[in-house]
Amino acid sequence: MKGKNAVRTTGLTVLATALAVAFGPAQAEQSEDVIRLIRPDSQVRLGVGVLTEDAIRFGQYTGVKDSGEYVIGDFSVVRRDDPTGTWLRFDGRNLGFENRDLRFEHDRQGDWRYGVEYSKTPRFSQYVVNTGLQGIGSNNLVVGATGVGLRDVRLKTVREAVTLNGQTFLGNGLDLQIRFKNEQKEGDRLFGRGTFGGTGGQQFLAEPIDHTMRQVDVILGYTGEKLQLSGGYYGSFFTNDHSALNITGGSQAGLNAFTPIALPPDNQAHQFYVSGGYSFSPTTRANFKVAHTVATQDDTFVVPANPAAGRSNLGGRMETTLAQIGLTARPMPKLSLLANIKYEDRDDRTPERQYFTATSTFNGTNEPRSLRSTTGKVEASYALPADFRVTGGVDYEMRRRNGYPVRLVTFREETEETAYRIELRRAMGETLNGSIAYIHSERDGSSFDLASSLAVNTPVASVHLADRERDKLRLKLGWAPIDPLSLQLTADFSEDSYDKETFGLDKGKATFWSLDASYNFTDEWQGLAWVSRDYSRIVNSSRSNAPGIWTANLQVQSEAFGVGMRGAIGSSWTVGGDLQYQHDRSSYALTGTTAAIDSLPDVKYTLATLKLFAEYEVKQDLALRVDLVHDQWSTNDWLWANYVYSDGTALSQDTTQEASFVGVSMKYTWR
Amino acid sequence: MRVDLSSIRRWVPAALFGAALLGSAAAWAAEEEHKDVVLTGDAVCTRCHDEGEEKPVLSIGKTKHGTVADKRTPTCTSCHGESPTHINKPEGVSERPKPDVDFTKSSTTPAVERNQVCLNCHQGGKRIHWQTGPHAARDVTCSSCHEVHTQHDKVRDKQDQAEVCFACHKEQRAQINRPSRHPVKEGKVACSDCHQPHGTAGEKLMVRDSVNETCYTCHMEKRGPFVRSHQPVTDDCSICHNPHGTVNDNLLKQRSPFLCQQCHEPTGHRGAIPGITPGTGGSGGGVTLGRGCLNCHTQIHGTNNPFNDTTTGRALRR
Repeated sequence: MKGKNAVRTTGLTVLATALAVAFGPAQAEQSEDVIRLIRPDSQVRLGVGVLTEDAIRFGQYTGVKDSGEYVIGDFSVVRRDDPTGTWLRFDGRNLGFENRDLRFEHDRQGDWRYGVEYSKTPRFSQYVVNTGLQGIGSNNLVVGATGVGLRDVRLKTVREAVTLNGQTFLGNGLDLQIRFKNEQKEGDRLFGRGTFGGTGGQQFLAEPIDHTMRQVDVILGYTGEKLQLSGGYYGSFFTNDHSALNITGGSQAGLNAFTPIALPPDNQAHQFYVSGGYSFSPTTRANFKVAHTVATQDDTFVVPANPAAGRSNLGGRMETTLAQIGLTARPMPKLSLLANIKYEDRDDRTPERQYFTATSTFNGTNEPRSLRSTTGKVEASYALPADFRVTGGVDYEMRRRNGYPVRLVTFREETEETAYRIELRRAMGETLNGSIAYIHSERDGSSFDLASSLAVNTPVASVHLADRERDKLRLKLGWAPIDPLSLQLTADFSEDSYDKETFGLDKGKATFWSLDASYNFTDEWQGLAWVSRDYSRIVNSSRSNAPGIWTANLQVQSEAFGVGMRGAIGSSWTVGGDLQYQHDRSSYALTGTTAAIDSLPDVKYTLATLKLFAEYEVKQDLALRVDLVHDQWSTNDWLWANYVYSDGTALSQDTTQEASFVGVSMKYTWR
Repeated sequence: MRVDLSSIRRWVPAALFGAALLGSAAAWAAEEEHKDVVLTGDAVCTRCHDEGEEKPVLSIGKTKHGTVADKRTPTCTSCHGESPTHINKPEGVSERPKPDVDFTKSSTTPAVERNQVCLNCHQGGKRIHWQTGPHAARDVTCSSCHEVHTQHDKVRDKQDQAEVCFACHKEQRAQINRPSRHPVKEGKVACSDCHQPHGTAGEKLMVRDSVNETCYTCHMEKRGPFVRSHQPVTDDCSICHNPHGTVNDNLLKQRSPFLCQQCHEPTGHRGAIPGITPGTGGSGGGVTLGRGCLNCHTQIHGTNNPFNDTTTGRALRR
């Protein structure tokens, strides 16, 4: 018996050995490690977080603004059927917050696809309104007697969007896409009415928002080896459930006539377009787009119009035609050329009617506004030795607007701007790359038509119409002096000079620089740091009624920095943190020849945010995560601090807001 | 018939051992013929770039580029080139040459060649205008923004996209933290909601054909036309607003009255000197505090109210 067992044992051992040697390597190709790397991951994260203090700025767009507990919930389910290439995706993000997103998509890759998405976006006003206004949330408001019935209200809007989309591949390079988005925006926003003098004043109002915005895209595409085409229809539809704001009450009799106030009317737009590209050769390609859009607005007027106009609605109609063509070519190995021209004609075909009584500064019609623009660009780029490339280009833009013989504001119908660019770039160096560019542009145009009934010596050349010379210098530098260290420098300088013969803008200046550094301490630990400074200045001159000429030297300066670290401790811990700081300052520097110059204090905003996280792998695919976010925000903005409406309404905000959010969650991954 | 068990005892192990030898020979032959792991034909690459790779190249299997049921799915050499000298290091060469098309940061493959690899499949649809766009002109590569070998391509995720754009667009990195802003940090508005980085027919890489048309996709109530219009509103929203973030409410570049005085002549109260003393009607605090000029001119984007009053109606107050 012992002998038989020995044979059996020996034979089995040899057999097992033979099988392992024969088939072992094939099994290793589909090891667990490989499967984890090649199969799509699904993940769910569930937890709870606590906000330690009320902080409206922290949760303005998330709803995480009141101290208390919040659910942390995210998931991403991804399934792929390998034999058919069919995907199933279901994602949810921020489920415990008000800015949640959900998305479902089912597709057979290369064949068909359909999906639905939901997105919610709240926006809480940063101000608390202390008001006696009644009827907030409706379009019938009652203004209280001055200082009566005051209570705190925080205005808010919420957008909720549902998007349906689908795509099918029709074969022979053709595909059809359809997308429909329906977005509801509801809530209230800061509004008002006012007049000064006599029994006038300014009253707080809340504009009710009950908007529906729908967008439809139907796109037929063709993708071939040389030719690509895309044509389709884009429709957008706006509906407002409130056509007018009706206001009663209030102690400022001079405002009683300011009702109703028209709210945004319903409108629609339809666009048909074709765009395409053709590659004549591997180095020469052209592209184009032609499009025609018809936008209409024919909502019934909220009050009867002047009978002279003979209309119960505007009959608004804007037709926009776009044509664009571009060409890129490389006629020599080192020379690249680019040319592009675009023409757009926004033709306001709204019937021009006599809605109003003409005055010395107004012709009394509805003044349709058309705009025709031509934009062109030519560019040549040549490769130099040592991986340098020099690029020169000219950009041109002409805009032509329609004007009116009787004007409230000095106007110019046509502007032309030409910009000349030269750039030197080195993009392929292993340790050093960068670019430096200089751009000079000049804008002028047709002669100015002075505002009617205006003293000759006080015209203002509008910011978008004035003659202007602009010089801009741009520098980018990337340097990796040693392997783990990478540095990046960005610097922009620009100066604007406006026509000094008029009031309005005189000169402007803007500078920006930033320095970024990243360092790989080890394979597991990386750090980064950055600092930036942004400065802009515009000088604006005007003339008060006093009379007296005064000037505002408006400056905005922002300084910001950030540091961050990511790393692993052992095989189970992943940790990291980021600290960001930003300080914005606006100054107004008023000077002038009249004594009635107030000193406007600088306005400052400061934001500091610290984020820390630690993740512990409890076991494979299961992790415990702790997040800490500490936010500090402060301001000295006087905009609302010194202001009270005539009806006693006042707005306020916490000038210092500090809060911490601590979250603990479990994360599970599977595939 | 009687079976001689002793002879069985001798030849069975021998036979089994012979089978083991044959099996190992077959296995050795199979190892020489390395099998595809993810993509059809990837064996020549994955015999080295396997699961032990520092950068997990096999993770392409988690993505659309790793879905072999789709006949269009490329293999490694479709993008990286046949790379014969990388696969078989020539004799006498100390360092293995890189693949024909290298997508790493230190790549010496020209940007236009790297991009052409992607454009061979992805030239259609939203990338029709790539070549005439500013990113192509500045040698930005597809791989500058996109990660192909990972399931989570950050630039295609609204929550993470802005961080990718800020690698070059530093100015906007600070602007999104300003007090008046779009909810970019919260992942509700992404750069690609307004910009089409792959190239467009319109201006400033707008997703629609103009700045205004792009703004109207979310702010449709501003489209009009209105019976009372405000000319710069119909011209370009960015004359008054900076959508990336500002220090003034409502994304305005300047606060009242300075912004308005950049166009409006100083007649009557329009030239009022700003101030912070409240209660000064059409001057001082009256044009500066609260909503400034908009305390009265509340319908600043235009109004569809045809009320025939030359002072209040014309002045965008109804």
